[in-house]
Amino acid sequence: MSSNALRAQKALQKHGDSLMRVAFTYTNNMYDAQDMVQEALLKYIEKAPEFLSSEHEKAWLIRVIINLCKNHMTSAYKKTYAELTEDISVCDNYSSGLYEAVCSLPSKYSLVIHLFYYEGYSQKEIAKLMKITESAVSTRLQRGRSLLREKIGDDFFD
Amino acid sequence: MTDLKFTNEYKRSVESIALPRNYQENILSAIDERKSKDSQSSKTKARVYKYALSAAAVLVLLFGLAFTLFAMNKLPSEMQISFKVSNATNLSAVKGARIVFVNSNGDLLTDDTGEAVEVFTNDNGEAQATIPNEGYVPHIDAEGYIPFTADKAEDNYYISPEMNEDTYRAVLTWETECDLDAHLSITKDGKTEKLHYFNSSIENDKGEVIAALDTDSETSGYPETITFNCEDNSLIRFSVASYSALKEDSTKALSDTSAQVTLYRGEKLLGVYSVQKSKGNVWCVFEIENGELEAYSEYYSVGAMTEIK
Repeated sequence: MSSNALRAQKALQKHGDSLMRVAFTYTNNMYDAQDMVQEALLKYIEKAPEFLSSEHEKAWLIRVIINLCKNHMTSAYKKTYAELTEDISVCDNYSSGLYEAVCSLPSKYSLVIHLFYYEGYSQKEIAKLMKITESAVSTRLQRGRSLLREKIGDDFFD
Repeated sequence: MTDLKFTNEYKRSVESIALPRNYQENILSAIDERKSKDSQSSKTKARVYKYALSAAAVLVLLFGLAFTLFAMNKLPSEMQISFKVSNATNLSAVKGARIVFVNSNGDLLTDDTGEAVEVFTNDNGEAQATIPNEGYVPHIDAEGYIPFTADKAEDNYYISPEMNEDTYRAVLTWETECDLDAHLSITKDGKTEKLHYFNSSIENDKGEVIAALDTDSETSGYPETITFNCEDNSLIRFSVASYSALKEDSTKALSDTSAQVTLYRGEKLLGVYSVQKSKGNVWCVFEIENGELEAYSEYYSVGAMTEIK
């Protein structure tokens, strides 16, 4: 195995779960999410970038996933409120509905919510990842939460 | 915005959904397989290339001789073009527009003295020119209008009058015989208003018109134009819907129309968006949220025009 491929394998071990979940917020389908992560790894092997830290590496991969998912979305028919398919193993648990509800939002909202509340990125970091302004991130978080409230009520909010 | 309860519930919810078993092995194995195929393909290509190169060398010599003789006498070096320039908001002819010609590199077409080749539209907005058959397209400049560079030779060009800096204009054009409609929605303070052929203007709380459908067209050959302002804390969404596809159930698909939306703000061109091959009779082209433009490009289907977001 080449050194780039080895690095990519290690990156997948470290960050694979996060990448799958980020891709899932766009694709709503684990198979497509897996394809996106695969393509991101191929780009990693091809470009062999140097990283200052593991976090830097993860952010780079997330950035690639976002671009791949956007291209994937614009080339295929998608309804705005896509439902999870039967292919997904969904825990039969009331709280899993919250993730499902977030992923059913337009991707511009589901992604910022996921990056902020699950990955723990700051609004500034999210703005860099998504190449938008901080104020846009703030607006999307507010709007996303507002849409969620309409969808699922106030039970999950303080 | 700490919202600890939501954070904890959301994390629990995300982790309750299992990722596919062995997804990492699957991904790595798919990558190995792909790299192996690429490598074999490269070796095969190298061999084929070597043989092809030898054969090509012989052919090139013969072809070059034949082409030189042919080109000297047969290929058209120039072409005659004629077109009309109109105002995108009211379809009136634009008189006195200056047209020069540029190629894909942005090089201006000049004559033997180095002067730009130019023509001017007459009272009917029409112009003709003879230009080299080398991919030159018109660049149109008219007093009071935003400069426009065509991306291909056409019979009609619709150009936008200049506007105030805060005003936007979206011009929808298409090429096939079907009825497309431009739709604009403005959401502010939880309330959404929609603009289209049935409701052709939107006013704000002060009674000022903040969006208007300038032109409506039921077939190609004429544009549909919407001019609008962005208010603070608002979300604007511009969509294109195929009324023909809705009525006739996809016999005139949106994605076959070569629909294009040109977006201006003030005196500047912001972007040109082209419909992609996709299913659906609605194309959401862009959103402007608090003044930030995003090419959203989403496709979906509706059963009635009232369902358009």
